[in-house]
Amino acid sequence: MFRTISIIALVGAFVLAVVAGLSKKRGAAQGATLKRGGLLGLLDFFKMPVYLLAIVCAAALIITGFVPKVILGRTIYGYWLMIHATAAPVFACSIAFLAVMWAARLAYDKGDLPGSKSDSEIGRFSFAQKTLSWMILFLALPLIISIVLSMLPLFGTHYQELLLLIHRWCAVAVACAVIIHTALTVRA
Amino acid sequence: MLKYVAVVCMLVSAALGAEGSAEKLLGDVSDGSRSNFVHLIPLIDGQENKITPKDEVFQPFSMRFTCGDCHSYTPISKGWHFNAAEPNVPAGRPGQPWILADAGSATQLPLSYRPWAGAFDPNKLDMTYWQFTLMFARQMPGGGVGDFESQDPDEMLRQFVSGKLDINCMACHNANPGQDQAEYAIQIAKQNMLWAATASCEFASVDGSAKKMPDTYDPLMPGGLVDTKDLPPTVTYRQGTFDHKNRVFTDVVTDISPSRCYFCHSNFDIQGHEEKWAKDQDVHIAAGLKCVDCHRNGLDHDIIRGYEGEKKFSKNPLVSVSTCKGCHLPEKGAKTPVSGRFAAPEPEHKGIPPVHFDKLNCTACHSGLWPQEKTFRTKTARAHRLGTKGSSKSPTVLPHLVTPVFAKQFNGKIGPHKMFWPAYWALETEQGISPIDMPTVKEVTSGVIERNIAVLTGQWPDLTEEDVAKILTSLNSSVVTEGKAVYVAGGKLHRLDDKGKLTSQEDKAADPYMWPIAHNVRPASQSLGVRKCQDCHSTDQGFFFGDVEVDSPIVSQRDQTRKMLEFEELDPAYTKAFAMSFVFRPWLKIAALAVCALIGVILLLYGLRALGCVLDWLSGKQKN
Repeated sequence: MFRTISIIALVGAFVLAVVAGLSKKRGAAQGATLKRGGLLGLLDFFKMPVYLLAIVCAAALIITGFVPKVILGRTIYGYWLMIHATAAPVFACSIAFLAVMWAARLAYDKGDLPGSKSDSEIGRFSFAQKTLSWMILFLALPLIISIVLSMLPLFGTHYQELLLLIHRWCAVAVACAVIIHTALTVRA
Repeated sequence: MLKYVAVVCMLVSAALGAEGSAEKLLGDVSDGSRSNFVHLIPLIDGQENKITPKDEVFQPFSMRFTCGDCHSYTPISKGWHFNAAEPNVPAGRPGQPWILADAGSATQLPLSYRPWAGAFDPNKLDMTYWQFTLMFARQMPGGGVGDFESQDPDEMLRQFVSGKLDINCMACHNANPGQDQAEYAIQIAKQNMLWAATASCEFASVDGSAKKMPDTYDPLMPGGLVDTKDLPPTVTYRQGTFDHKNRVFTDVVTDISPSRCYFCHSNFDIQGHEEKWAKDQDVHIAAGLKCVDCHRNGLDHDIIRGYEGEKKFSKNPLVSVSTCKGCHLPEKGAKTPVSGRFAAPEPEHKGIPPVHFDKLNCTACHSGLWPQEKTFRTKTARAHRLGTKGSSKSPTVLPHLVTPVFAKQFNGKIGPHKMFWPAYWALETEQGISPIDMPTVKEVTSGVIERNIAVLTGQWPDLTEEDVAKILTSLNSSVVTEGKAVYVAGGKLHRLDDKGKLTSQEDKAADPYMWPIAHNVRPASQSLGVRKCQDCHSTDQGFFFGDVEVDSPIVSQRDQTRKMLEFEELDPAYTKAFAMSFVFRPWLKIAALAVCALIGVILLLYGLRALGCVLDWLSGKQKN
């Protein structure tokens, strides 16, 4: 069941991403952001490199996570696992950094209401981008916690399998969200 | 034509019917009582005569007729312990072979009538059933090849004098502490096949030797024409053996004590200078179980070997629940729960990722010795005659077995093995490599190897490459008519090149023979991974990076090792990199948890803000 649903979900996400990528550009580029002072202002410089790093890691995670399980039909191990385990902490740290940097701009406001024309404001995220970002952040918690807990000597085989199940299903959702989010960002 | 077909069909169906309706004997089927049946029974000799204290000359009692009076002998004789040489018996997972170890000719060769890969069929080495019996029946429960008719005229005469080797039911089923299998081994050495089982019982003793009797000796007429000073085999039944009805109490049981099994199935791992008293037993035995609690069989003696996948080879109805998993893990989808037999605890395996169960057998973490930098030497009862009188106690006596060797098994999972490197003189032809018969080898090698010293010490002779070249030259010139003589040892095939110089190369024929082990099972608190992942996933741990001893009689090739990884069929670069990654594993966990905390705080912060907005909106306070 997991294989079928994840294939449908990922293919669906790619189709949506392509559609979103081909649709008319509405927002401004995220690179053109509002200037900030202090430490956050200093860190603003790293936003785009970190974002790109997160995208690369996400791609690596999606490939190494889904290809063995969904396409090859076996558990992740070997070099697949090593790449997966290497990219995962980088991705986690990246999205944590981006969450700190972009959280304020990800808050919903009046401009997100239907019919509003504030989408074209400089540095503003679209409603879809905000929703997907919050979704990624929200699902990242069970995604990361489930795998970290499985590494600790706390849970037996039954719960280990449950944790893996949580990790897999969250990964499908996060992967779909990341794919569409990336397409929207590229379009913008 | 149809008539003939009809007649044949009738005969076949009659034969099948007869077989199907074979009369069940009194003891073939249990009435269900859990109490032990008291075997107060008459002893019956090989001529089906009852033995009484009034007999002028005592005959040894025959298991075939004494036990066979109530228990069908034929189905028992097809059981696993007796059917090695029977054709069409599924060989199953490779097991421990018999090992022909001869220090005097620098030979250790795996033998088995079962078609296990790497083991040689004794028939193909021109070893007769009689010779095989003389060599190895010391630690067999009788029957099998010992019961086969020899085809060699000289051996037929000797077999007439010695008798054939019936199944020795008492070897396993006699609960009396006086049952003496070491005495049985002595009787085999004396070629007292007919008397061996009787001699091993607590109520009889046997003197004399059939080996010393002439070919004309008739065991049925022991007082007859014997022109020898040597004593013929003679039975004495101890006083008080027979009751007033000439019956004998035999303490026969089915819940056999491990001590009985141990005579043929003991293991002695040579770690440092530890002796038996310093070593613990299998955790199951320590918990009060017996070998036969798991290794069960019915009348057909189709005993469960107890490995995963045995169902393919065995018809024993309990075979699938008599594995580690069968007792310790709940069976998914079973109509009724079957796990937890013998109060087996269900393991939690806390912190062990489930991928381990796809890659490893249970035994990998729980059985045998804890892997260290290098494998250990080990002894087994059958390979080293443990428990027999006069067995060598030297830790270096042949054959040289090493353990634990972690290797892939037939189910694709890694498990621990015992292993040895075959060493033998062979003939290389287009058909492949086949060992040269031992009498020839002994004769040729005795010119180069100090046979007496080697046999006395039981250790490898110190062979030089020049010695090997000399022996090969001698074999090529005196014995070999087709192909070339070669020597297999230390994982290499040694042959002479066209210039007469010794060359050596790795060859499949020189691969080690290994067999999976399951015992001793260590307690859970001593299983691999119980402390941390680095019990295995570390570059200084033996499970992946241990050295496996390569044993060879050739001096220049001693002290060589191979990496455990080779046997596990794993990529060394990957395994090393993966093991090294565990150095960073704690950081990974800390970083991941810190990330989660940060994301959690942001979600909480903005979630509360959003909640505030929603509440404002609901209470009509929202301004914007």
